[in-house]
Amino acid sequence: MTGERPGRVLRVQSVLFGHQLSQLWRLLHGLDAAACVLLDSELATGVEWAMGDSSPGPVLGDPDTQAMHEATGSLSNVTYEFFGENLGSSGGQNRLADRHASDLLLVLNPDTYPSPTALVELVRAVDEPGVGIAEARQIPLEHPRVYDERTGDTSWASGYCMMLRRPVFDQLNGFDSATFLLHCDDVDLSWRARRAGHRVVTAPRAAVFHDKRPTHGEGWPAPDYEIYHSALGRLMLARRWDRPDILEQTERAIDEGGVAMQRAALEEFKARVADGRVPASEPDPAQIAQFIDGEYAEHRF
Amino acid sequence: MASMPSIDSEQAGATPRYDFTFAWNSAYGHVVELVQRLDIERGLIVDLGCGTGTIAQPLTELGFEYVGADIDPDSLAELAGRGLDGRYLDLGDLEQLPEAIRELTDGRPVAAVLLLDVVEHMPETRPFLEALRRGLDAIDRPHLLISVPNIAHVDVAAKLVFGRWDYTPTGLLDSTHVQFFTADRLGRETRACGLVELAAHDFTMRNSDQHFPSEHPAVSWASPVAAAIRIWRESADRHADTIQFVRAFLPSPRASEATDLSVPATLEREPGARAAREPAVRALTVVMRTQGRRPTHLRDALTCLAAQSVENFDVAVMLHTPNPEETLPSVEALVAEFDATFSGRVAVLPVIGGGRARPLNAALDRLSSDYVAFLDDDDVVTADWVERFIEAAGDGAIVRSVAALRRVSPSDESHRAPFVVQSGLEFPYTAKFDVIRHLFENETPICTFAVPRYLIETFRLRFDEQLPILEDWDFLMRCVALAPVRDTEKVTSVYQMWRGGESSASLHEAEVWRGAQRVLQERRNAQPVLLPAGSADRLVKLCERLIELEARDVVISELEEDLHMHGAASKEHAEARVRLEAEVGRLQGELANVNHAYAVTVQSRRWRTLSPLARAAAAARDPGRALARLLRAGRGG
Repeated sequence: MTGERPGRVLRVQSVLFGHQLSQLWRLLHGLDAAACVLLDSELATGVEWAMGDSSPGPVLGDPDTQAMHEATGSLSNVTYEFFGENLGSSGGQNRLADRHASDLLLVLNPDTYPSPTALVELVRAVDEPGVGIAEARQIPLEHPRVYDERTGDTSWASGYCMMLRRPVFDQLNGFDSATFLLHCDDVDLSWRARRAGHRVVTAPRAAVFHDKRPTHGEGWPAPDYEIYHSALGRLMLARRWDRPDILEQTERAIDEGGVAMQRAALEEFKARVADGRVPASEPDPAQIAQFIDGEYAEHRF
Repeated sequence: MASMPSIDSEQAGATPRYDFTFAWNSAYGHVVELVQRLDIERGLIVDLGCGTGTIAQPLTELGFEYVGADIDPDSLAELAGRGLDGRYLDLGDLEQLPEAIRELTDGRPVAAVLLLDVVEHMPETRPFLEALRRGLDAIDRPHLLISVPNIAHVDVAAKLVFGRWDYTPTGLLDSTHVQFFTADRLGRETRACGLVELAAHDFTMRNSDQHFPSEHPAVSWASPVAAAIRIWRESADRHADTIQFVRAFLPSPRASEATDLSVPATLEREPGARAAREPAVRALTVVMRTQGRRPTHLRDALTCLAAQSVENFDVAVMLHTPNPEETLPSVEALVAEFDATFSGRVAVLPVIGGGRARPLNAALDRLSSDYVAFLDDDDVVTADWVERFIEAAGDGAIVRSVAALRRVSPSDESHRAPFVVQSGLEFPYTAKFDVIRHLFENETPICTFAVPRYLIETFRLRFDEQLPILEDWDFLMRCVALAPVRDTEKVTSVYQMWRGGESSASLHEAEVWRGAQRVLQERRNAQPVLLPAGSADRLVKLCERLIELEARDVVISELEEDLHMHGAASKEHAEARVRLEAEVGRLQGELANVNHAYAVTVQSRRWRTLSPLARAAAAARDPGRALARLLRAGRGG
């Protein structure tokens, strides 16, 4: 442990929704090994894993949590909390973070498996000057978003695996869970971090396996809930980041060719506008927000 | 043999049944050569079941003493007439056999005991060899030379396929044979009796005495059926043409060295079979080929394996390096970074020398799991890669999944940093295995198929180490010629196509690719191709399409002629010309494509000129996804 970082703790947070026990054990094994490498590096003195469950019924029982706690060699603590309500990923992350202090926060999907060096590489990335958020490189299917190959700077960090310095998370009041239940919460958080002067970077050396399974000829077809929330998220992003042109373009696209889930999302958006349940538009003079060809960053492919 | 009562009444009479004259180019000649090769100290040769002692003269000329033993009085009289020592012996009297053997020696030191054309006449092989073994123990365990016919000669096998089993007075299907031997069985029986094989000098003939009738498709040289059976037979072991196994043994000093007889003979060494005392094997072994020089890629690939949805597989990391002392510690350390539930299933095995295929073959030499799959250290897989293989495994089938393809480039020259992905997923490979298409190009990258161990061991399948590239395609095609293919139709791997930097695609010039393709094509062309049911329809349709387009070619010629005659005198003609030229171009393109496909399928020579990468599909994005892209999600996108 260096003298500069006494008692530095990384808190890993995962929000569950109907996940299988085997997935969680898989993640535990991966986290345990990655935590071991991190602790050996002396860039942190402790790593803990907190699970919050938004499922209709508990995914884990007390014996499961206890068994996991006993099985780990490097995690200082493994905790599980059944929310009793669906807080979504952003609400769940906020809830988990509210209850415990830490120096570093890792937002991590349950359907992942960090490579052994993922945590240490992410910590190195957030230790770079000015960096507030660092995301890992997804394997086997990498995200096409452009990042600066020298500095790692990028438009936004994906919430499947993003590490934040805790003061940054607190400064931003975490995710905007009222506006973004499932999707685009990470885009919004990243853009707010950048607006506050923090860098958002990709750490390509930090590889994290994300269990995505493509379909022949189609890539990976989105389920209904993803279609719905991504459409709603986009409308909300355009609203917050003061882009009436994107709002109009999106509404038109849905009107002209949207599927049922997208039309439902548009209806929901309009209802929220009518009720005043949408974020206030905030000017974006620094042009933090990027709406490029349907994406939120320039893509490599 | 004369040791046993003959059952062939036609042969009963004054002339001994096995009255062969000695020839060097015979099984007996091979026995004598084997005696010479082993440089056995001079002494007494005991020839059990000696018949007329065909082999006596060349052995005595070499300085050995000779005593023959047989049950047939005519044979013994023949021996005596030539001044040779012949004694009466009933080899069927197993209780007395050890003592009888000892008595034959008259206390003289024994150089070797011969058992030529005998074992196949003994009703019970194992008890006979055990009694013989006791006899050898009684005379200080000399060399034992056995000669026994090979029932699995390709001529016998091919004829049996057609229901023929032609007994003959002598030869492979001698009507007095009561036991039959393959190389495997001879090995099992002798090992079980503590006989250690020292040397082999088998006698081979392409055309055996069973090569009749010559017009029969089973043996006719021109028959594609015979050619196919020969190919399959030769792929099973080295004894397709072996007439007679000629082997030398030494009795092991201790009887305890004999194979445990509690293991049923049918199970022992049977490929794929497991003795009850063996620990349970895993369902799949993943063979990962690496040179240990790209640790980031290797860690990525291992992370993908650690994240698999099932755990009943192990991993053989084949470290192909000239300096294992340099790279082995770093690769082992990289593996040790992983959680023990995974790293405990990973073995790092250094492989020195050879080409790209050497580490793969080194892994195949030590398989213990039911299936084997392959993953290079620069490819990545989805979480269900192993699970899909295991789900579809069984019945001896090769399991095939599908790879997506994407283009990547190295981020630096050292390859120590992650590659940079340059394209989305492409799906150039069909979801269902198509053997006809595979004759043209490989649609099954090495990371997309799993092969049963039984198939590999039964047919001694190995990658061709002489091929600089395409060794996986060659291996796959040899596998699918023998076993069915079961498609999972699931995309479970991502094949990385390198843009620049170090990869097989960039290291080898196009000429090397074409050369390797040519070799493979010529290899396949030399053999009949067995196509699955339904292939005839496909070939017919290809031909129909070709004829149709050839007819269009005639129309094109007429159109071109028309164009030439009318010129472009008027605007109308000019427009017509544009339209016609477009049509001509389209049809010519179509014709070229179909001609190309036809040539590939039925005219292999033209195939040689084609580029291997010409058909790389470029469907990077589904056009219908425009709106979906517009509305793409943020998290985890």
